[in-house]
Amino acid sequence: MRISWMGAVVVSTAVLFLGCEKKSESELLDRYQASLVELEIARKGYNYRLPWVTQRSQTKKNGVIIEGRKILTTADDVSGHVLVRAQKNGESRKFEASFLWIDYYANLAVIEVEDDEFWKGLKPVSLANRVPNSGLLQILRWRSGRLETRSAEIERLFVGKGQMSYIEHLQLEVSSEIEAAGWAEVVVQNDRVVGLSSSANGKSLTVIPSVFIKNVIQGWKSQEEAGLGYFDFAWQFGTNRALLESKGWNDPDRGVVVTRVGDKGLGNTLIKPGDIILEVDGFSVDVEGKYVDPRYGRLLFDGLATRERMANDSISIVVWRDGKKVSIDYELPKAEFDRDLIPDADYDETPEYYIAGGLLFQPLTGGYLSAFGKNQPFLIRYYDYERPVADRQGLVVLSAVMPDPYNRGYEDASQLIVDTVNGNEIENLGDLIEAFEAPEGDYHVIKFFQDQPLKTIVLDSNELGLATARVLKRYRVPEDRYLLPEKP
Amino acid sequence: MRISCAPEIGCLRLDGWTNVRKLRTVLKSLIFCIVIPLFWAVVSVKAAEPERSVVQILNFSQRPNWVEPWRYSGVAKGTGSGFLIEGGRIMTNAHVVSWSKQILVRRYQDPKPYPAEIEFVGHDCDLAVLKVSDPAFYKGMESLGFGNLPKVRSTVVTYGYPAGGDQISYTRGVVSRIEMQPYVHIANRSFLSVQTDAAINPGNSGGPVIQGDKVVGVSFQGNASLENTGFFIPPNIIRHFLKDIEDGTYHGFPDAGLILAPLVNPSFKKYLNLPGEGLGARVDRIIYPFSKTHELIRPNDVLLKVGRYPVGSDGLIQYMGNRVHAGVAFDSAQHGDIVDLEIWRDGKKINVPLPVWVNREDAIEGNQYNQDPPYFICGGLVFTELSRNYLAAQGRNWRSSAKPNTLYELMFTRYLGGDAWRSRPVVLSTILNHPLNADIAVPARSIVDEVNGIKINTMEDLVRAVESNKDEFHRFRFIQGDRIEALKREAADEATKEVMNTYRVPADRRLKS
Repeated sequence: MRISWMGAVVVSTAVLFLGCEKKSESELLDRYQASLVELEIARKGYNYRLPWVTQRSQTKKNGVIIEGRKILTTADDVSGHVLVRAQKNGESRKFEASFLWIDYYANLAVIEVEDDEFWKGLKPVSLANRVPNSGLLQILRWRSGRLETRSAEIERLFVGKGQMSYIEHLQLEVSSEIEAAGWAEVVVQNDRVVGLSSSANGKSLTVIPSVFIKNVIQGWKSQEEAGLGYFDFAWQFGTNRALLESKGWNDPDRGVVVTRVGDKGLGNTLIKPGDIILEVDGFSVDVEGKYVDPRYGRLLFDGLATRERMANDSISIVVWRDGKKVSIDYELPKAEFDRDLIPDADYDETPEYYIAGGLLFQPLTGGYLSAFGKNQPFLIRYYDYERPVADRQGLVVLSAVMPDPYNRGYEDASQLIVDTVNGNEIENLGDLIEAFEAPEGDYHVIKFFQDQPLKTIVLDSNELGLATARVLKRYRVPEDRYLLPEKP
Repeated sequence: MRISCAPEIGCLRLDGWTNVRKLRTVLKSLIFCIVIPLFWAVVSVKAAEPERSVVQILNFSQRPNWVEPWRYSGVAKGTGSGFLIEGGRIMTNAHVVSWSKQILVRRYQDPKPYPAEIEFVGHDCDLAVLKVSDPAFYKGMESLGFGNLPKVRSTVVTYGYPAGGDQISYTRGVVSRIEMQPYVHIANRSFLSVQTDAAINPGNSGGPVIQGDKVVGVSFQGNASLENTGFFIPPNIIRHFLKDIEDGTYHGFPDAGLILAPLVNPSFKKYLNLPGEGLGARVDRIIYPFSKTHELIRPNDVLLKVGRYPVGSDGLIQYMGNRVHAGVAFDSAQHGDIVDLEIWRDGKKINVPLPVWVNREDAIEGNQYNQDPPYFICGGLVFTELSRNYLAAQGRNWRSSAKPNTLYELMFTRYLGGDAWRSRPVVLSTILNHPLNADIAVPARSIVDEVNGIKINTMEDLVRAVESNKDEFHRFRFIQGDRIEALKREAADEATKEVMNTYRVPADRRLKS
């Protein structure tokens, strides 16, 4: 009898618990129904093998209403957007929208909708001022016209590279049963938004935390295109005590060693190779490059460049250099892909190309490289990995040859990095076009880097124009070139 | 003679990554090793009964460990084939007898194994000759003579002892193609090779390929991705090997260091003032070191003739009825010979007598044999020479798992010359755990750039840089990410002794003689 009573108590408790959970889930959905929207983004992409050819695609993702009648989402899969539409309340009506700004470095974007009808009944959310270190969260999203939620458990807070750029910032990793996530699902704790999902790998979901989002939004509010700052130097662990001691630094618990400076071409060279980084922004840096964040514990110091700071802000760095401590007022250079020898990414940009007598030339960029997937030509991969060319701002590659009598014998030439054309060093397509305008007598002489499979190509300069026109017609290429407008 | 041509020529490049990729494809599919041979069925064996001159070779081998070079593998047994030639020698493939500790040969239908020794081995051309000291071995055996390069479509018979049985096996095939092919035993050399349509079976390697009563080739490799395809080494390569060893030393095939490109484009021909059609391939580049070639030949020279062979604009020559790579014309030269070249330069023909030597500078790029890898231990850090063998020891997918700058250092810097080129780069092979090095952050497989301020081009540089250092610390710089490390000098000396004791390392170093 007693056992039966106990069983009854257990069953009724479980029913009560499930009932409460159901109730709280329903309250949560009610609370956020008016704050979450579904976004449909039609995009135009490019085939980098045939850079004049466009491809269409469409992405569906989530957004959340923030103050000022705006929608916040991630920047993933919005590059090349041609049409943005927003849906609310799971209704079928779609409202045309536009991007107010997109920050690919932060992987965040803000969208506006002009139609007042859209905003009726919608409520902005509050972004949490602090991200929890542990515990349970809820993930919300629209799916097939229904707002759904899944639980998530916090795994860790960490500083890591974002989904869209080399910027390292605070991120939250959670585990959840949610499927096919990573499309700006909204992660909440009670009445506060903790972040937006940026990627998923199995049950693990990476979330851009609210504190980082707030900093970025604040930056855009205060100064248009302020952008994120970046420590443009690489470092290694100082765990080997002898390494630090060999530089005269005897504290075994502090310091990492700077190995390279300026890999991203951002221009700040105040930090030198061989410096031992001791403090950043007043925080002591340990031998693994971590500092103790007052809120979030041990984190990599790289994240301090985006912690309550934007590009051009100053941050204090103390280094050990030549046997003494040196304090540096490090002005955070703005992260810009274009400053790199091979830009990591070229979001929203139509790929550049130039065709001369059937020879297709393209700048070496992240977009160009990504077109190869995992099968990047070795030498191209090497140049991307090692950046061995210190004195150039960019590289141009002869990517393919469209066969024509004019270029006979060169049909198989491809993926050759251009060194000079008619004696002029080539860093970009502008240089290349200019160089083709100054032939060496009756010839164009194209030289490739010494380590490439072919060193020299010679073309007839007098026939170039005719040959190019013939190739364009035969291969149905609309123009012989596309060059981006020059940036200020 | 080794020579290369640029990719659009459609023929084989012997240098650089294009070649590596090509080789990779070939390597994937080519079966060779001790465990492969091939054989073709008998057509009409003459009265001489060549099978009586064909032997089975058993090789008991042991290979070094390239990551921890003082260690060796267990003993492996491999079988191959061979045949008696003039001078009481048994000819076989180099890969049949590589890394041997003991070699036994078995005669046709004779149960007794005879011990044999390697007399000469040419790993570049994958040939070797053995000697048997017991005179009884030669009783009743007749040596086989060599014929000429067989014609395409003619029939050949191969003899050997492939896997699947102990008795001799014969297979017949047709010569289907003759051209330059990578020799996969060494991996970074290509020579003339004859393709036949006979199936390939493990164990045939080293056996003779016979036409009439003459040997016209030595079976050596196959292609697993193609059906009924086998390759044998033709007589010109065999004769080169035999002539080379006449002075008691095997030198190898010399190299000119030239990279040829086709000269098909009319504008380029006009640019070079070259008259006529279809003649002459362009020198695209000259690799390093090849100082004499750099002195005598210039980029954009047009190679019109090699010896008596006119060179086509596609970089091929007409060789005994076959269109083959111009490199074949160099392959009759011996180490130190002069090859007469006819060159088009500055609008006129000139004759250039080009001395050619065996290039050993790129040995690390190919497979190395019968030479224990060098190493040096400092504070538990084990350094060795960067080589194909070392990288291949990292696993089957070493090409994709190695860092791009590691492969670049191994295969591309010799195009650049100057300071960029290290003849024999040194790599941090592994770290033998010890409290002194427990916190070293630089990963194994990093290539050494500098030690104690001295640029490291060879293992000898490294040892000198460490041993001449009087500072409190040894300072290391690696090329990957410009990472640096340091060890306290005196503590490193002690740690070296301790790790040698712990890990039973017989010596702290082994350098090449």
